[in-house]
Amino acid sequence: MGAQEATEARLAALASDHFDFVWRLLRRQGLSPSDADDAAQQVFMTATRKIDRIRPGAERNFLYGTALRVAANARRAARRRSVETGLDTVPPVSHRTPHDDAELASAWALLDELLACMPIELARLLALVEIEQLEVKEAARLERIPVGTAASRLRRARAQFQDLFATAAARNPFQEEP
Amino acid sequence: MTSNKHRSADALFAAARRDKPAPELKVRTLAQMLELSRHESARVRVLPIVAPVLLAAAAVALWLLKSEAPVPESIVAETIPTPSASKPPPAVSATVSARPPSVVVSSPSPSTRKAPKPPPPPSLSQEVESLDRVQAALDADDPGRALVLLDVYRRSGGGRMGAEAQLLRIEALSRAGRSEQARQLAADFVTTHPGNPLIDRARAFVGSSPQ
Repeated sequence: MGAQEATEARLAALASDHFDFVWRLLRRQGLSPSDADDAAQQVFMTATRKIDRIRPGAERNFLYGTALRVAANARRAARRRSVETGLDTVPPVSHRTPHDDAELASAWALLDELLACMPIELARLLALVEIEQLEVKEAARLERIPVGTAASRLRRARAQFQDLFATAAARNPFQEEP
Repeated sequence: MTSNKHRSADALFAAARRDKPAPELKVRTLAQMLELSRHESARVRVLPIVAPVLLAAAAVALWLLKSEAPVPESIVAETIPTPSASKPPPAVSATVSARPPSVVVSSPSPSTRKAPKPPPPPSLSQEVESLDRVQAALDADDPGRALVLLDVYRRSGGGRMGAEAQLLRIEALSRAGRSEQARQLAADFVTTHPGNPLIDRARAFVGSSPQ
């Protein structure tokens, strides 16, 4: 009974501390909001089943690895859907933004478009450091790469993103000058 | 110019940080997680009860087989790993009682075992379920019912989902047309839960919605 209570408390902490992180990660992996909803639930159900095998302190690593796998599957499923329906990929703009903020939604769409143009491992690293504001060391741990490799990848990622960003600047909703 | 560009790129990343799942999704997922966890732990509790019984039954079956049709000693040694294999078959009850007695004989099913113990404060999963019902009322566009359910939740003595409950109350008040109360409660939320991930949602009700 006590053990079950402890497990429940751990699960609650897991959802409370990491749900947004996982959902955003899925979003920046190119999933639509509703696909990210489903995928995030799947990630946390997997974590629930394996909670006894997740080392305390390594929760985020587990969730990160699981989320990447689930995202890859979800992207494949979305591609299959788009082939079957003959439609282009799912609409990138959120239809469920908290305050109907069109500017935000177009920023997300632009960001996803730019990230999708980058090698996936660079885009992931950029998202971890620039969006989630993790330290390079922590991002390297999640990516299971040496810190030095992460740092050099991050440099490349930032340079590539700046180039892509410059070409798309005209459509940036936050651009102050024409 | 470069710095301007840079600032804008940063603004894109900052915008991405505001891309968040609906709070009710988190609540719903947690409820499902707790449900699954309880289900799994019930299964784990049943296994140690069932496994020894099956083992005992298998042992008895082997004894009976042996007594009806004697098999060569070498096979018996392989199939029955107990040192007492060469003794005459003991009574069935003896074999069963050799297992942990409390487990085999007198344990009711997990569901009946749970029933007679009403836990005074609600468990975390019950709290989540309560808030799920509140969310369902809001989804059904019934803010009045949502507020009643929130009062019930508050009286139940639960508090671990306090922030979520308060946010739901803000939303219910706002949807019920009591926007001044909603604004006040939202302002309280912002000051009492400065680091809470739900704070952006509360801020929106204060009237200083992020631009």
